Amino acid sequence: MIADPGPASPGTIDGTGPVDGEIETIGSGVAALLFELVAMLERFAESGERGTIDLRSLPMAPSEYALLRETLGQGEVSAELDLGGPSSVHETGFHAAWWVRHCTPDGEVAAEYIEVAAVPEILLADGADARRGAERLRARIAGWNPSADAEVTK
Amino acid sequence: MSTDKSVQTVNDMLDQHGISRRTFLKSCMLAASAMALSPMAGSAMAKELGGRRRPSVIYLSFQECTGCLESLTRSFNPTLEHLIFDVISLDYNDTLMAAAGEAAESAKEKAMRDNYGQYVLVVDGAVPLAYGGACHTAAGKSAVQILQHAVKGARAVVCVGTCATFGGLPIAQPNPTGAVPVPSLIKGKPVINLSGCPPIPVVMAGTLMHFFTFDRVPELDHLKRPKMFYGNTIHDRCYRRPFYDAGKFAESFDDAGARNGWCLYKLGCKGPTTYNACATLKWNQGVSFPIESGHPCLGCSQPGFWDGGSFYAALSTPKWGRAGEGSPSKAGEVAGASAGIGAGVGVAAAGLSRYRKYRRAHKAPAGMDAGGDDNTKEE
Repeated sequence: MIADPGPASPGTIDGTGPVDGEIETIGSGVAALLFELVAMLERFAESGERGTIDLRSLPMAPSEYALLRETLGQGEVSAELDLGGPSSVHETGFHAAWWVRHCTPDGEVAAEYIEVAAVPEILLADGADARRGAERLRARIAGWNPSADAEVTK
Repeated sequence: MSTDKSVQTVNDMLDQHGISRRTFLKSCMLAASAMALSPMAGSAMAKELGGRRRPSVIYLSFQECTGCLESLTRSFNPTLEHLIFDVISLDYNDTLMAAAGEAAESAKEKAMRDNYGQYVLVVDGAVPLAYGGACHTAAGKSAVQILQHAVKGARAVVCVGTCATFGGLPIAQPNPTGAVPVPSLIKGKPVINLSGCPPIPVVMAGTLMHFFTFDRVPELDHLKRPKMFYGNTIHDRCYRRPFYDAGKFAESFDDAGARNGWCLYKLGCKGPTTYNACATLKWNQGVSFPIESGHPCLGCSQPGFWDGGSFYAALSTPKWGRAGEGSPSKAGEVAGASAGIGAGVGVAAAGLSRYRKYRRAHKAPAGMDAGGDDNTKEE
């Protein structure tokens, strides 16, 4: 039985997995998680209700984590973000189920979850973003002379 | 964005610092995850905090080593711990602020007047009462006078570090300065204790974020610590726990057991009786925590940990009284003799830990939110 190594935690201090291979067992945690994901996808299809499963909060052996990733697979869409440390989003092989991972600037996984949504929230732009974008672009083009700019860059 | 241009919101501040809404959202999601909340709560947190005026925080330091502040400020940019300084308006901290002397004191008084009843008072360090409080004075006032004055207009008091929460090192025997924990001096205000020597940066930042987002004190344990961070023992969440359950223990710091990462119980690990989140949140940007680095947990987030005998004596070691009383050397002598029975007694300790948790869950102590009661005793 594994207490709680978490997906980013090694089983031993050198990260090679549990010593002697005698402690690790594959529980039914992955199956339960997948059934929960099925229910969330059905709710989203019927009502548009979004949902998340926080993978870091679940006790999961490294082998269970690998099994989960392999089962969900890779879908059509992926994105890399630079948000004070790398983040990544990819759609799993099952539409509307997204695998989201946030890392620290050093690349350590800080949060990881499965999000059920049309588009993960971290990718969405909102009205305030658009307003700030408009302000910046307006300032950029105020008094703009494209030909002069081109001369400068030559 | 605020409609009143004179009021600077958190989003305004972040924008000035070139921090995007998405980066802030990510930080809030990390905070939510650390607090065992849904990542969607992080989204709500970002929306709620982003549109608000930055809340005022006044940070007082008394008998302490500045380690707690170091813990918070030496974290790496741009994490939640860093962003907290954009989210809050830190109106007074005599270590960090550029102003000094009368200018600093005036800034504190102004912030307290302008935000009366609304500011959060963060305190680190114990408060000395001996010699009329002369062991710690600033601007001609004793620590207890400064504290009493600042508490009056506070919305809540957040005690940071084991010195503030339980007395820590200053209160250790023989306690020459007559130090007392901060909560013992506070009546009628919500108190949140964030113990640890020092506390984990995310615990400090996350608790403040939670308070400002939901406008209430999070659920606390019997020592007034947020359950979301102090709800489990280190032992409960330790990745070496399977070795404990299997009876595999390191017997010395360089034996095969230690090299194989076996349980450090016999080397004095206080994980079974220590409530904190080190095993899950970890330190240094999630790199590791003491046990993962091969050292037993010292139990630094528990009351009286300095007086608990040797850091390297197993929990099963009988104590002859608090250090400095009776026969202090006896604890060390008994340690060697009793370490052999560590495993059996350790199971009992873990069972007792669970039993205490069960008992607390079924009988909440009175006055949990009122403040002013004695927080220094373990149940």
